[in-house]
Amino acid sequence: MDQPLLEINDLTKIFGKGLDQQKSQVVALQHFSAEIAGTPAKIVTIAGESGSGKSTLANSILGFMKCTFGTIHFKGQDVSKFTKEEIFRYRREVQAVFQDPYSVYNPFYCVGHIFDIAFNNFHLASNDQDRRDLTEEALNLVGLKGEEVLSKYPHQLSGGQLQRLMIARAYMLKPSLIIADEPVSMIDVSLRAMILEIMVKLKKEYGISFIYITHDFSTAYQISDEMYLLYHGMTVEKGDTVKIINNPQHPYTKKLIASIPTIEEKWEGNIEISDTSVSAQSELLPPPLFTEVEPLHWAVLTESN
Amino acid sequence: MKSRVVDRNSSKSEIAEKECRKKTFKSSPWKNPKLIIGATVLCVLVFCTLIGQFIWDKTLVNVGSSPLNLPPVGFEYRKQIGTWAHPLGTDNSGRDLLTLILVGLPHSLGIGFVAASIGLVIGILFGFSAGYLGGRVDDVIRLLSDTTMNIPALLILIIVQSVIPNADFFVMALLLSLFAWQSPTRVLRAQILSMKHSDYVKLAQLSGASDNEIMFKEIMPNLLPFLIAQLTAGTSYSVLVLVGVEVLGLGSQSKPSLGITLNNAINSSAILRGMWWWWGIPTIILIVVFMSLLLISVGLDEVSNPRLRNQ
Repeated sequence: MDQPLLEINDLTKIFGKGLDQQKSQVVALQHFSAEIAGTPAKIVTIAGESGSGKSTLANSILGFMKCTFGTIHFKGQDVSKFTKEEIFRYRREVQAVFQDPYSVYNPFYCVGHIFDIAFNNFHLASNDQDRRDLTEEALNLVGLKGEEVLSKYPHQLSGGQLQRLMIARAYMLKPSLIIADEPVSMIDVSLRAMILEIMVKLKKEYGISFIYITHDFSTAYQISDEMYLLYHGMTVEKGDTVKIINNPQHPYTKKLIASIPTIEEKWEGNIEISDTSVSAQSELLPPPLFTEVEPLHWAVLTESN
Repeated sequence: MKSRVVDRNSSKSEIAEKECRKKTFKSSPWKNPKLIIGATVLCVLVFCTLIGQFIWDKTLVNVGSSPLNLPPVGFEYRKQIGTWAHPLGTDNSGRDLLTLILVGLPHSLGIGFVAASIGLVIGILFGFSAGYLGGRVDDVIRLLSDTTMNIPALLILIIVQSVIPNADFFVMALLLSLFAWQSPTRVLRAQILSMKHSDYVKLAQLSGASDNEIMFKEIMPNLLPFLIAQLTAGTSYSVLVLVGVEVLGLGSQSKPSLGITLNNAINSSAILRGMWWWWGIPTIILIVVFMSLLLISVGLDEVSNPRLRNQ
């Protein structure tokens, strides 16, 4: 009965290059395990720097990428063994909001096209009136009006408007999970709060869970319930967001949290830029050993602790 | 009260939807002035020459069929006055210039168009396989197109022409197509590479679209103007190379063409003798052809790239 919505087990993705697979391989994501209950809906943050495997994870969950090993189960079913119809059903349940709102829209069509293809393929409405009502309802939720935006071309709208349209589209499909891959990183700071509020509202009022992928700890702290911290494709700390940020254990987490600029303090600019964070991980390491630091907070402890 | 508000909203969004459809399908992208002017000029020119084939006496293209050195209508040259029998004048071997253009222009344009079409078909095949398959196939195709692209077409054609002196229509078109496939290959490969992983293709997948739908509804509309632009640019390039070869006195001498007419005019010192119509009129026709082809390419570029359009 209590089947989790999404269950990820030991997910690993290794990119190989050329014939010599051994030497030039890049381990993008390793031994990632997570569980998203679905009820009650939660916002789960996947945090980490660029190249830490966040987007690889998102692409694997959405089915755009085959992982090297590990499994993803959706409501108890293995995603990689889905038939065509099951993939189609899975698409309705798991939607996404991408990072770059400018590239998600086909430049050939007005922005209303993203609603049209969803309507046509998922047969959401029986007639034009239903279509308009559903679209209007979704748009009103994100504070937009159909007659103002739908007939515009993507390049005529702002990034914030485009991103809100994306969320409206995802909401209209009434999914159980939305993967938000850095949804606010390319948006004006003044509009970020609005997008994040919409996400929280969708979670609270409509029971939609989110996987919120970000490198920004402050927004994660604001909205998310749980958090997984990735470092070189490896999970180093996981658990309750507030507990992790208030009591970071892994040296990498500490460093990341220390590097958040705050408005009260003058920036001193004495952050070390280490070489190790730039080079890509090329070896597959054994699965991480988590220690329970406090209830709902696990971390991989290193010698320095 | 409440129902009225709802009504007004829905009628507004109805209007918005209609506006959107109008913009997409009727007016905005394809109603580009450059594209329309270019296409109109080219169509008028081609249409006139095709009609002229039927109403004008084509035997006037033969040497000695007309009086020698006759100027166009309304001009006088060495006590000869232009007549309506030869409205654009004649050359020094008694060939009617209007007939030369009527027969020569479709010939030159035809060779250019066929060469560009062959080039485009090869380009689509190579570009799609390079873009989709990637890996080794991509490496080979890219190496091939990049290296052959830098070989000057004129040089190769001059050498080949000395071996095959009287190349006919299709041989010539095939020879020219050897230099017309690289550009479409590169352009299509790049486009497909960037579109294959684009977010809007991902979004269409998330919206449950099939592969066919993604190819034809998402990628193709964005690629179509590129294809036509490549075709016109290829035609323009092939005609340019063809005329260049002919002006040098190479190419098939059995069929009249604009390049051969120019070659004759140069060889007979038409400029020194003041016979401006002999070299001037074919040159003007060529300029008009190249300009209209250029306008079509530029116009199509604006169609395919909305940011170039006037807001």
